[in-house]
Amino acid sequence: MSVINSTERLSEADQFLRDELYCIADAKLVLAGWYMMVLQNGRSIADFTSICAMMQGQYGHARALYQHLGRFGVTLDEVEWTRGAKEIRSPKLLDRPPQSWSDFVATIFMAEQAISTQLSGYRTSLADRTLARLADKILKESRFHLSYSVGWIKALRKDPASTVDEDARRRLVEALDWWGEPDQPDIVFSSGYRDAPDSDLRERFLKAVGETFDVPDGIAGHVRSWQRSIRRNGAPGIPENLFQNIRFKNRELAMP
Amino acid sequence: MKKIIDRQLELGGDKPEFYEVFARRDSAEPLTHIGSVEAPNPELAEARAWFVYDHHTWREMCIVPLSAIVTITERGSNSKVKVV
Repeated sequence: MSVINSTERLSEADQFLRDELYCIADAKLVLAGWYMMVLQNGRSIADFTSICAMMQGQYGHARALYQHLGRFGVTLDEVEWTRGAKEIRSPKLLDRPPQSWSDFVATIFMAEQAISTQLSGYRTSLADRTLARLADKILKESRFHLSYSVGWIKALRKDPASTVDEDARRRLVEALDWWGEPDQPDIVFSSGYRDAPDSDLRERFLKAVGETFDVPDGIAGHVRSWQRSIRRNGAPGIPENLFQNIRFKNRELAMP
Repeated sequence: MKKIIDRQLELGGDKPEFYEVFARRDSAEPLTHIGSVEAPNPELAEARAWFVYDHHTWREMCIVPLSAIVTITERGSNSKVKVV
């Protein structure tokens, strides 16, 4: 694996890989922010501890991926301290704050599943072994995040008045925005960095979701102006108020 | 405002159960009882056990529903399983 010092020297495949890693890492950064904000709503001490651990895990994964972006000449300082709301590339799924505990559970399930599915495409990458090992470690740790949300979904569903299935249906459409339209050119896959094309990963995601929720046949996100570099439709960036909540604020308190 | 937890709604109407947690740090160590967690199902119990008892990098961890344990020496006592 070589370190590229100038973005001008990046090949097209490297640019696409860098963009995708930004999207995955930013998804984890914003998801960590979600856990941070919801933390005090934990339903028991063990629940509080679990949310705290998942928050810590997501921050750690995001920072490890940001560190890996150094391969493309991007510094940790640049990634963490110089970007504004318009430059954060997290999925649209996480733009809308949780509307209830049930909506929170449905959303973290979709987000954890989507991120893990996308990362699973790098687990056996021969083109970037460091990334493959990192993806493997993150996936092993994220397994417990999924157990947490699946456990809560099962518990909530015992109540006939539960809205968790409706919440999941709404969030699933938002989650699919991450994959855009199937059958578009996928240079990260064709260049060998990822072992599965986006269209297969989208199917893998739907199959995994289908083990917990009913997935309607032919479900699709709203594809209008999807851009691969930000993995979403419409204008880049996240809502300003979300950014203000999740951004790192006190530089002097930051860990090196 | 005081937070009110509707256990019926938020725990899905399930009665939470205790799960006993066993773990070992390496293959030379015996599987040891390290504590317990309360959860309405095994998935949530697995996550809570992993996150609550994360003071070591466990080589092996498993959980057992308390209801599955048949006591012998502790029959009639308040705790079925004691942490060593």
